[in-house]
Amino acid sequence: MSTNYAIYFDSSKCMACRACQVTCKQWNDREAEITENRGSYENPPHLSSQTWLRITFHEDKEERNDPFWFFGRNSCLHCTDAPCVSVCPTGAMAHVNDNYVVVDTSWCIGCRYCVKACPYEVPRFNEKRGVVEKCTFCVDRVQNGYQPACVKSCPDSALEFGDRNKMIRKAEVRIAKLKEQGFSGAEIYGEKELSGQYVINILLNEPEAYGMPSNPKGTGKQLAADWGSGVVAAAVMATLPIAWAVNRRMKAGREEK
Amino acid sequence: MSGPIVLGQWNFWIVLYLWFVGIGTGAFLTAYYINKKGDASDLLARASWIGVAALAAGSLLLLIDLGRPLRFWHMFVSYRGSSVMWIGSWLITITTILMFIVALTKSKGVAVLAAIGAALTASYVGVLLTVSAIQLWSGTLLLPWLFLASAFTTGAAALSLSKNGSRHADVLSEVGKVYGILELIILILFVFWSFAAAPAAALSMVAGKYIGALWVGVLIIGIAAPLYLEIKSDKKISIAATGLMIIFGGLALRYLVVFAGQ
Repeated sequence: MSTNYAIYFDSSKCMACRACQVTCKQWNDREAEITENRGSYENPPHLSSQTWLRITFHEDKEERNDPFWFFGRNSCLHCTDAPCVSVCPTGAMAHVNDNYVVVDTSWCIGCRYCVKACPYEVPRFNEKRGVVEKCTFCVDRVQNGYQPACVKSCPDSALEFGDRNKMIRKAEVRIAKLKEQGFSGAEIYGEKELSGQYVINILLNEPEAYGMPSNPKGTGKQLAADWGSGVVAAAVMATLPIAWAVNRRMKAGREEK
Repeated sequence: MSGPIVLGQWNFWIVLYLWFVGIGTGAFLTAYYINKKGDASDLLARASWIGVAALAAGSLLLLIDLGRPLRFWHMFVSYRGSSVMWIGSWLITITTILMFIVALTKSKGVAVLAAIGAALTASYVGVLLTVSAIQLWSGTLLLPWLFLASAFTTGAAALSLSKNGSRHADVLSEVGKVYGILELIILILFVFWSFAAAPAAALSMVAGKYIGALWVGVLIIGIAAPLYLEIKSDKKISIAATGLMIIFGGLALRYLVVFAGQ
């Protein structure tokens, strides 16, 4: 099989019916969850080990005649430079076929470092099983020639599935059209973010309007800077002040004598 | 039907772990330098045991915190150099063993290695949090610095409360003062920098949900009051009180950083 498939999500066509959200649960055997009415149709409020995909509702802050929502698709974006894979201490969170990110729940130890590392808050802890779970890109379906369950269920053409390069080209055409229609802020998300993701999002506005970071931090340079600060801190803080303090006191002690 | 939504936050076990690592590594490093400049092999031996106990207890807390504690060995059977947690697991294991050897043999060569391990371990816990998508943790590069300063204040305080501490009370108090002032400076920088990098979390520390942890726990009990006592008052009376306050302040600092971040 080709291993370069991507999911294509066009938020301008999404009507938030959430068929994808329900189908994801059905195919992946996820339980229903108890939630509360928070004054929004958006539900549940977060992803969890039982909810791997949800449609998010973001009300437009600009003044329009009618209410207007941006509908986002909150699920794993299957990053190439995936922070969750990078931080995993056991290798349980890993790329399959060099692209989709899947957690091996028989190897995961439940440390939840991936939960802290993902800029999209996707990996979630299953307390009962003691492991982290998330969207699998429906690799079980894809490897057998089917589309992911969410794509299959979409009644409109908001979700599509195909070769990643084709999906990017399709997205470019769509963006040009949306700009013509007056959505000047429309942009593609996922083509370059974190070295390329396997979900290509068409957004009508800046990523922040969808609760997504514009410049998610990659792991390489960031890791070097963080370790750099750590090693310099160890070298400086654990030598100079302590040596100074001890010397000063010893000297004072000798003078007193 | 499953219950309330579980996100997978890091909780109080992690706070205690960070606290124990700070005390153990700080105590060892402080005693190591005092012994280097004068005769304090009794203090170094005591510190080695404190270090072994604190690091071992901290590691145990981490195990308890895992979703699958019995699978902890999965971390040690593969190479995962990109993972700070993987590096840290090795670092803390090796450092604990080295400190154990120092405690038993008083070997000077091993003590040097253990001191390097302790410094890196004290710093790694900061890097662990920095490499994340949590704005308060990743927004500044100061967490290793802050945790190191606190490691020395709490470590020296633990030594001053220990059996051999009174003989070295003066120098331990000096270490507490120097690192207390450093910790205060780094903490101020951290809070200001966080207002740019993680405004919501910074506000929750300064004037929101964590106002008590920051102002009372960390600043007054952990730093300001001990500094005042160390500089101003009669030493004999204040050693125990100061030590306990500093150690409590270290716990408040870890609590503040871990919980205000998430």
